[in-house]
Amino acid sequence: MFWNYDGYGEARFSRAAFIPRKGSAGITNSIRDAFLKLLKVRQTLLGKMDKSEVAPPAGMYIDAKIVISSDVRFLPVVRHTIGNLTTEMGWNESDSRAITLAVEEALTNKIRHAYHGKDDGRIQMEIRTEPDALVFQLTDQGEAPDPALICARREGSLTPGGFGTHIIRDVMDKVVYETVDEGNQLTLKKYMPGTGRALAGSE
Amino acid sequence: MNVSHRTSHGALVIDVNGDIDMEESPALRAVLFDAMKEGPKVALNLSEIRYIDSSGIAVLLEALRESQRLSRAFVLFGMSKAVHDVFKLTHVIKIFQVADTEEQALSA
Repeated sequence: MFWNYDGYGEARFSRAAFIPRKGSAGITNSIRDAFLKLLKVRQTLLGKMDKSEVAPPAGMYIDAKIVISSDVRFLPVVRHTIGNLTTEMGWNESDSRAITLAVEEALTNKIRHAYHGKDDGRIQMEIRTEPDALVFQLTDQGEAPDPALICARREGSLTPGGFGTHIIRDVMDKVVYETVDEGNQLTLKKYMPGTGRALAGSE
Repeated sequence: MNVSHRTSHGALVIDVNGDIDMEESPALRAVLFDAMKEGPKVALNLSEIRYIDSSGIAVLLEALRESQRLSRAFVLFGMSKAVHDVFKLTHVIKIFQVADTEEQALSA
């Protein structure tokens, strides 16, 4: 079996360590022993391992993946998470709100267009930092977007549609729609405040 | 999102608070469309709205079109900076009649 710890390495562990001894007390003791062995192995490995193998990237970073159903009730959860994250990472309140809105628009577009409002679709959201940017990657297995329909709305129009795409393109520095093995993937990149690329403008 | 309404100076004032997102916007649409049938003027109080997304903006645009169809006045007031930012992002701020306060909205 493999024991993944801290996301920065793997340790091979003997299956024999988990074979319980006879009797309920024996099973309890076996489980306890197994945990103690795991802890010992973890401490040993962390002690011996080169620091570069366990050290996180420099500065504030995130590398997270969440998978949610295409249910609108998750929108406030995502909203608060992204809002808090972007504020903590240095964006001002106004920019933080804009980034949050853009990500939520991407999410609602997937619910509305990929899954046609059904709440049992699967949406995977990855959030990660690059040296100068925060990246959001949303993947679904619903209907692929029609490139002809991915367009920003006409300014001043009274037609109530196309706002989401408009907001996403306006707020994010890079927007890429792709079809990958896992489904329809939308990648949104926002350069960190104060970095050279953020100051240079969007791609 | 919570919605209530009252009459003031001959206008129907609709108070909403909370977030207007994809989940909540259909309820707001229903309230606004009903209100348009009630009287000559509808004033929407947005001062307690913390968040609005594109589905909320779309509903307000639909309500505006309905007000024009029925020859009603439709005015928004009390926008926070957060809401105002979204109106600016979607380039619809100039389409609506917007007032800072309820008093201004009702006298406009």
